[in-house]
Amino acid sequence: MKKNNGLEVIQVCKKYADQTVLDNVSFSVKPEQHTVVLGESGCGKSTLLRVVAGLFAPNAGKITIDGNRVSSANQIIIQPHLRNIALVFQDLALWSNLTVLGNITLVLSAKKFSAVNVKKQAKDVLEMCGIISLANRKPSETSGGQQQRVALARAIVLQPKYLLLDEPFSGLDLVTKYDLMEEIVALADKKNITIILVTHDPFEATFFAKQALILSRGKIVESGLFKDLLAQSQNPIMLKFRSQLQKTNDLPAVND
Amino acid sequence: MFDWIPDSHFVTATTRSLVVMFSTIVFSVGVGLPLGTLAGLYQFRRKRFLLGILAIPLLMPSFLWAIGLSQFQELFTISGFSHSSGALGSVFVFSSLLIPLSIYTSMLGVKSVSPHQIDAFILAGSALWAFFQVLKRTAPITILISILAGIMTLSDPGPGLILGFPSAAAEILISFSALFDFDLARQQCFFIAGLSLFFFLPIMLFLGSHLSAVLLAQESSSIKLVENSTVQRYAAPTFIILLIIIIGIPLVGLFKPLWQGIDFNYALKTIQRTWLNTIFYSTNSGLLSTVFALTFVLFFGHYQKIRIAMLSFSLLFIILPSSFVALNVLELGASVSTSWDWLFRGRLLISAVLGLRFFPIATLLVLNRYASISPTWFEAAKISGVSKTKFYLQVLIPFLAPSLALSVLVISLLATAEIGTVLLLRPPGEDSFPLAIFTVMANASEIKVSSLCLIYFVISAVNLTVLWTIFGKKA
Repeated sequence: MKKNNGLEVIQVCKKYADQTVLDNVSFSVKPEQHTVVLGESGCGKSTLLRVVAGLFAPNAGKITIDGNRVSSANQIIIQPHLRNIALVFQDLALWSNLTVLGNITLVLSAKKFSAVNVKKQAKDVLEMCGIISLANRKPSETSGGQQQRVALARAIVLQPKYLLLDEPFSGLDLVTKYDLMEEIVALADKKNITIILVTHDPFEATFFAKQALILSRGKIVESGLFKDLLAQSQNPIMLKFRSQLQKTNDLPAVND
Repeated sequence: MFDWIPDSHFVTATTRSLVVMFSTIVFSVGVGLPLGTLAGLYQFRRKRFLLGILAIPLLMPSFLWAIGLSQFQELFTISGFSHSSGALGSVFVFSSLLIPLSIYTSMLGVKSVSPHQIDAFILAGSALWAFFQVLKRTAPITILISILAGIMTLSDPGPGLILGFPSAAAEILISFSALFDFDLARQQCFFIAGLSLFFFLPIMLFLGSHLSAVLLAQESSSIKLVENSTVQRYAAPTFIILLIIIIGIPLVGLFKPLWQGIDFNYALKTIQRTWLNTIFYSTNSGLLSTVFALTFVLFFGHYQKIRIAMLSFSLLFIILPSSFVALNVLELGASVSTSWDWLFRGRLLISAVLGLRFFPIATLLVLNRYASISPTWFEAAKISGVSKTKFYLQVLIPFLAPSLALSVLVISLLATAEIGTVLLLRPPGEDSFPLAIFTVMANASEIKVSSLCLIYFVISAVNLTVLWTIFGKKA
């Protein structure tokens, strides 16, 4: 890989059978410019993440990462695990028959580290994510927030440059969600990871985003700096965001 | 030139078998559908235990139940054991197998109705109305499975032979085991196979996807069981009465001669002679069937359309008469060179044919667990660079292990109870234990037959207890 020039999606199209899911989508993400992808359900947000990750090839267009072409029309040029990308899935995709530690070590073992090294790295990342005490538990024996941390630990243990988050916070209570989001942003800043987040939640968006893309029926209808879009956009999604944020600001102050 | 149409005698026997088949289906659905819906929907005392006992007839060869019924009739000197009572007896024996199946299928059908739907039914009307709404939704799959199981009665000779009812399957058995006329047996088998397909194909064409959807229903949709005082009071006694009728009566008849003594010596000698073969046939069938199923699931489990098509197609192996498959295998064996004798004249052939016959059941058991795996599991492995071999060995196969173990056990038990294939394909002197019972039942004393039946029942009951203890909670 060349030096960190960012990620570029150029005129990408993706179809399932006769249905166009992504239609001529183009955008770029500069290093450490956390980006949020917004849009109604079924508009192609998750497909966009999968195409970027290299799980699907686009039907047209190309994707470059740090100046290297990784996908072009109907072709995966660089395999997903060689793209320096990690993905946290909406359902977290934790392998339920393995322990928390097992989930991490299996991913590390793919990198041909020595057994001792694998264990050490796995324990380090669990420590960093605050879940070392859960190492020998099965994912089903942990809480929703802890499972989210396990998924995050599994994603960052390979030290990716890009972390794709596919609505991973849905279903979490407010306190856990914000704790986790703060930790992810801190971790990303510390490790120079660029986040691309798919969400419906305006507060999650404001938390992460420097840049925003609004997707509608497979097309990018607006993009730019998140704060600019929030101030000026007439897109129904941004209007709703704005009104919700204003309502929150109108709330009376609470004494501790 | 092979004549496809059998003589009028066999056609009449087939008509009689069809009447028994339809009566069995109607009776089994009539009893099994409401009771299965009830058991799926409501919690009541001793439910798990009663439902476990209910599985006993499914693991026993039907001819044992027929012997039991026959001896029960003698015990109470029920007279008039003519064609009509033979037909009624056959309906009783087959219903004893089909009613548990209908009940289990209805329970599975209830799982495909979401808890919210059930709550909505209860809020919209009474609990009784909700019950009938759920029953309406479980009916198609219960009727479908009962018809498929009913088709299988066409090729089961046991009850017909024992109860003096000249069924089509009994005629086929006589053709090859008494008359040694293999051409006649093959012609009759083709006729029954054609008839089975005639009923099977339209059902699968119209309802195949529905069948797969319900049979592969996920645990996540399992409902919260409803408490109801009336059901609590009456459900358990109703199930006990059913168990007394379909299990108690045949067992009383089966073990009646044991009041005069048990011939343990004879039973032990028979076991000594047959236990190795029985275990060889059944365990290898279970293993082969499960390996076939696992291979299929790993290759095609991902593709919804292929798995529905394959599942529907593979049901053919169960529907077709076992004697039809066995006779064709024999024919094939006769046409190949002697270098294939290790396969066509060996014991492994029986396991392979039985393994193939029960492959759809193994596939269902494995697919049911496989279908609960999120596609993101594979994506997570791919994006992390975990190789397919590592992923299969460390994640997928260990995850499927409980269903693989269940499959080996269930298929082994089902294969043990299957005698048609063993009867036709066994090398000389290589009987299985149930086949030994089947071959001596006409000539040996009642005490000897009952002693063998007791041993068979005890072994099956122990196996069932093990199965139910390990897997019952999930079931």
